[in-house]
Amino acid sequence: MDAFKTQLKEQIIEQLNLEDIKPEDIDNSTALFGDEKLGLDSIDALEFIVLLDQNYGIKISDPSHGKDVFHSVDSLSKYIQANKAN
Amino acid sequence: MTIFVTGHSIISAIGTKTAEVHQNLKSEISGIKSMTVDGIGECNLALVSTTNEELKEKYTIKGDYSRTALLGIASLKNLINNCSLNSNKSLKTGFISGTSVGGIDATEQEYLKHLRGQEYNKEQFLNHSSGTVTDQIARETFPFDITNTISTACSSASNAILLAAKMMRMGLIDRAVVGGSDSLSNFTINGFKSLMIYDQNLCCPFDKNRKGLNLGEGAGYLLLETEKSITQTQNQPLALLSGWCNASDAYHQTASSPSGEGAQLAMQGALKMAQLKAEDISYINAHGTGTQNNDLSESTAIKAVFGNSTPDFSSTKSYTGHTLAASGGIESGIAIMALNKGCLYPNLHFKTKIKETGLTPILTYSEGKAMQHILSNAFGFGGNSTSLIFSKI
Amino acid sequence: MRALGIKFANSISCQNTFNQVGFFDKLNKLDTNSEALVPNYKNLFQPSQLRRMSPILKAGLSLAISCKKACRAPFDSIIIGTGLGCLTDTGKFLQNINLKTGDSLSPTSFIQSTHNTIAGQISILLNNKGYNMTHSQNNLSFEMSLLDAMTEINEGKRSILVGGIDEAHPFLEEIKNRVVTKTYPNTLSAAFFVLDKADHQQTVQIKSVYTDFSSDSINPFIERVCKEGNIDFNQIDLVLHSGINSTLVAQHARSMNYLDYTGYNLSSSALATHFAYDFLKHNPNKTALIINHLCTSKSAIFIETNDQA
Repeated sequence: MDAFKTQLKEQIIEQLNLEDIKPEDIDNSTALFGDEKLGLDSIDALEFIVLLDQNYGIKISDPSHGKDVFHSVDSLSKYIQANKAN
Repeated sequence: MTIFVTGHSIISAIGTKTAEVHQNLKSEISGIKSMTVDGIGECNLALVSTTNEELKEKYTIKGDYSRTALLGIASLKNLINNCSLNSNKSLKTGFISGTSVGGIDATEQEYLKHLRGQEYNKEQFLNHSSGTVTDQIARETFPFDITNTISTACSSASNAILLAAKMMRMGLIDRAVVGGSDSLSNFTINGFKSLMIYDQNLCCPFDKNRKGLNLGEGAGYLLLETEKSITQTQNQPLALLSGWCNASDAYHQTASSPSGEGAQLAMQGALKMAQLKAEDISYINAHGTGTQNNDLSESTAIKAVFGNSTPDFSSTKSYTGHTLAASGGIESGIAIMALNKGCLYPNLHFKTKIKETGLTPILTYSEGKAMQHILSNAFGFGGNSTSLIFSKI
Repeated sequence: MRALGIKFANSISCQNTFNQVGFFDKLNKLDTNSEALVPNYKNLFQPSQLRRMSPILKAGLSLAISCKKACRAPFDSIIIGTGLGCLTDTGKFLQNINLKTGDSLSPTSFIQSTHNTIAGQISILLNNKGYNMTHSQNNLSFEMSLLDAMTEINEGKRSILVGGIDEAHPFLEEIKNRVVTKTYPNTLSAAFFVLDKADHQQTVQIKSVYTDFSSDSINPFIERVCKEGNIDFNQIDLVLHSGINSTLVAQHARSMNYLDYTGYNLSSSALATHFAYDFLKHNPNKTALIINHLCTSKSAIFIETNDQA
């Protein structure tokens, strides 16, 4: 699970173009939107949807459903495990 | 200085002649249709129902231009047919056109071929730039003294209108053709899909359950004249451009602020300039894209500015789709028709009020409303906010 | 026409012009490998801001910040001219379309592809709610921005930020020989000015901007400009031109092809204006004329020092 979360963080860093951020800088349980260091906004919420689709085949059709899913690395990881296409 | 509107023309999914546009608005016939787009699937789009070849033939256009240019040329040729725009050495004539996509409908396919390592047509890239589209429209229609292109996304045409008015007040020009043109392209269809702000059904502006916008294409232009010009051309004025204002929301690149501050500033600024009070406005042709964000922000702003005097309002994007940079030009034309006919064009597909603002737009077509002043809104990416006021002669 | 006083100017170019003064005599001719000398953007922006910024945005926002620092009063108007807009993001989004797998597409580059992204981002950065306009008229984008600034002054506005900016893109190299005959480097070019109603406070003023959209040749245009502006062409102290073939310019005592120093770029006349401003700031009681004929449409910007300053 740790390896998966690290990989997930690397994917987040790449998708959101978070220069100068490493996986170890992102805490698993801290809220991603609201972390001043990351400075994420509504455009990033859409980027998360792209990440889920392109990397895991998971489709989210309504952006407002994303709020809980993308809350933290933990919530995102849990959602992926539950929904990823086989 | 009095600025007269002496002509307007519209090319859109609901018609290429003003009478046709009016009839479709009156009959509540939307131009938005469901179609299948490569790589996207089902999509509701408001296409102008004339192919590029048909446009070239109908309007005698020789150049191998982008569709944005062709739509612009068609609209200008219609405008020139309907009102007097003759060469006149004593009048300085401007042409200011708004576009967001420029000639990308012609160049995007060639660029994709380049990316795939395929043979592609380099010549097409001469059609790409926004300024070149404007030059091409000018070349095919009239020897303008000054041409310029405004590119502020969805407020472009409205900004073209107010820029020309300022140039007239400064004495740089005596009359101008102003408005905008944008065609549909893979770039924008994919772009708005990436923002996830499409409605899979027909858009329902200002409705509580609205899901998003439907894209459209078209071109809309006005002829503006000073008193000096109209004395010579003897054109019949249709309306006065009595007020305008451009302001910035300064909030986010794509989302409008919750209070709609940019929109408030634009509407208040236009009212101040026209020396009018809120209750003097009889009708607002709203920006009303049908997105969650815009319609909440815009109705919040309308309430803040108009309060208990909120006038009749509607979004005609439920007919034409969102024509992006052309929207201000097309919708100014529609607003002027409403002003002169004394009619109220409905806002289609509305069922339930937005909870936070509780506003109901015009639901059915009606005639016989005495109108003196109307307001047209256009808001673009980057928080660009523009309001125009047209007044009866 | 309303004369515009230049309160401050700055640029990012292949010359050492960013935050520099007195650079005119040190301008070097460029070669095909010349690249823009950009500031260290990490000193100016947070990583969370920088991550999305294309070269044109970094340059534009840096210059806007420097203009704001120099002139503390809020700008009444922000006006940007750009010939080709945000090419990097436009190209990126097309590449995204090309490589698309699944249903979704990354939206960031689309959002930043509209030409008014630069002006819009400046308004957000500076929390500026005023007039905000973007002109895109090929080689005359900057000149149309100046005319717009004049209309703003005419409407009673005072402090106006005007910029001319265009970025390079590798694809421009592919189509270059359809557009230019001489070899110039394909460069980023950005020059921003804080302008105000011309009065005794500014030493250098943009006196007038002339445009011509006909296919007439250059000499009649120059003659018309001089006649309308009551200018003796041969008395102009510095003529900067875009590599034009003109007998009038060829026999002028001090004329310079500015493209040799700016590179080929639709906003190069904005940079040439910064060069002229620097020259005039350090050479009082002189005049300069910038003639832009990069495409069929032409313009002339007449700049002079203010005798009363």
